[in-house]
Amino acid sequence: MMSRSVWNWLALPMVLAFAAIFIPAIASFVLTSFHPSTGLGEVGPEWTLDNYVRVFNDETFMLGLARSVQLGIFTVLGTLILGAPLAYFIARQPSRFAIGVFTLLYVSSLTSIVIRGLGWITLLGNNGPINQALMGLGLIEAPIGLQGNMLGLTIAMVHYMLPFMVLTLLPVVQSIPTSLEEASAGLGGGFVRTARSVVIPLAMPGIVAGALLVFAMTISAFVIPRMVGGSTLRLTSLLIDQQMLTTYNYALGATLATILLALVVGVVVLSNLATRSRVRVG
Amino acid sequence: MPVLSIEGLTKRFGSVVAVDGIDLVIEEGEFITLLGPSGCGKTTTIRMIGGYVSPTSGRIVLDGVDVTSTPSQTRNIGMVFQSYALFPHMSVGDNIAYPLKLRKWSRERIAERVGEMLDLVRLPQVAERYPSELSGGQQQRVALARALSYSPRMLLMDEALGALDAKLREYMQLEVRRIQQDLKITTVHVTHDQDEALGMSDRVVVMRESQIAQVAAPRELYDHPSSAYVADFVGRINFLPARVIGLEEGAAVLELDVAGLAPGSSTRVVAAQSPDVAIGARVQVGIRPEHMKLAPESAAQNSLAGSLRGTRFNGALEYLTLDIAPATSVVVVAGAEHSGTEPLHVRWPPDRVIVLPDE
Repeated sequence: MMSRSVWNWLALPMVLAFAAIFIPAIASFVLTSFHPSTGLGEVGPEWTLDNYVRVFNDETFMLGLARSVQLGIFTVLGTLILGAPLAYFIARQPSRFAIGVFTLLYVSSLTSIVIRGLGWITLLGNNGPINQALMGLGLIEAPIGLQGNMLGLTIAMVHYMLPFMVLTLLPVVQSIPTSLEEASAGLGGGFVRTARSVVIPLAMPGIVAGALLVFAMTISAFVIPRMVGGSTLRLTSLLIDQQMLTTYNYALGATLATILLALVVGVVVLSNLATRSRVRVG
Repeated sequence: MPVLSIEGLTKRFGSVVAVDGIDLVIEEGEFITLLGPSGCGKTTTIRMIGGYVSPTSGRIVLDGVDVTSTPSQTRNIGMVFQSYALFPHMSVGDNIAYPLKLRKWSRERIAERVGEMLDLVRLPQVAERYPSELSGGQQQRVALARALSYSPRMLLMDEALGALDAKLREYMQLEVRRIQQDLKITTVHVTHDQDEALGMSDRVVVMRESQIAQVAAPRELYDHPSSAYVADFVGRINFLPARVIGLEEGAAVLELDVAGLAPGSSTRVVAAQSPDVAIGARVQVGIRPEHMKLAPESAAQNSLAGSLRGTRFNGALEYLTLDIAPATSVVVVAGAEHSGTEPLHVRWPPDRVIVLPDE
């Protein structure tokens, strides 16, 4: 058994590589956010909090942040509701059907994001198959708007993020011995009780990891919000793009990016604290 | 009325028959052990009794009620799993309380029962600890306490002592038996360890290739095995091929059919009891090592001579292996150390000869 310090040394090259690539990039936009914009991609030398004051007082930016967070939360919930049963099913019933479902999911995650965005534009359209089907079933009378609104965007994001959630949950569910579920059943626990008291608590590290991954990727997602959400849903990622590439206000773009980064880091820290105190796995 | 009766129980996994039409009746308060090598169907059988595997055909009747298709959660049978299956995210107390909470017991009653169960398995003071903080033997006791806490109708144990080291296993055999007798709970236990089966059970069910080979009390099983398979699986035994040459009042006279017996051996064996065999039938003569006694000289019957090939001392007994013919040897228990090349003589009484049909 190698000592802990040897492992730490083995990890060093990777840590250095990450540090060399990411720290300057992150530092550069975090620092930029504390300087005033002098227009056309330039910032002045003096230090200021004006950019933050402006963001927090601007309705467009605050609405964009709120929508980004809302999209993140609903996408996490959607991928959990769909992904957790799917991961459980694939882990517990390694049948040909389950492997087929898993393969489809995996292959779809390898498809170009642009193609998937285009697919959702077609599916969500007023004359698209979803509205046609709902009208055909008599559930709605007129097409419900799914394009350019949060509902349609959330559906598309859940689809895009689902493989990440399932692939994160799968090994965690597989690591829970089947005998624990049998023991729960033998002691009188039904399916729901066993899920609530045994499977979900033991899968919590995977649920938290999957939720963090999906949340972080969703609030910074760009392509799907741009294609499916259109220009009306001004999410933070789109506003950053606008500041950087349309109005050339680098300081403001950097401020928005720093706020997103702080949000993700904050959620990671909070969830670490929460799981450390609650989940205890032998 | 028996607590449990199993009728024609069969389980197929695809083309593999794991359990092949077994019948078994278990009475109130009995401790029954299913004994057999791995793959004999004993675990599948206990899992069908517990409701964890559904039978392909046959019936399981508990207290006169057909529970064959009753799910395990309502079958009210306690089970100790091979891996113990303690919930790692719950304290010992919460593990034991789990079935009680499901039964909507009051908080006070649960606390009281958890204390009682921990006393029963002689592990007070561990209620706050987590399973990972306990030794294997302690985890085993907690699993037993959890399986018994809600006073189930029966207790099942699936190789539950298998993971413990030899000394602890022996101690836990006594403990489990004590608890079982305290509570008078009908128990079915599965093991591949013959010591465990003989030492704990009221009756032992020896299984062979998905079927029951013999059901008997431990002593009966050891002294009167119904087949060479059972005789060999339960304890050690020397087998010698023979032919029946005479029968009178249940006793049998047999002629050993061993080529090249050493000088001084007698080919004649007298057995006090014998199964239903005809004169001329080929049989196996079985004699356990502890019944073959060293003697100063040979005799006209039930006597062999041979040269010492090797000895094995296990701390309590000295086992000698004697070559009685070029291709045949027997193992005998000796009272003291032996060495040298002098031929040794062994003799055994007729009432210790087990005559079994040739397989």
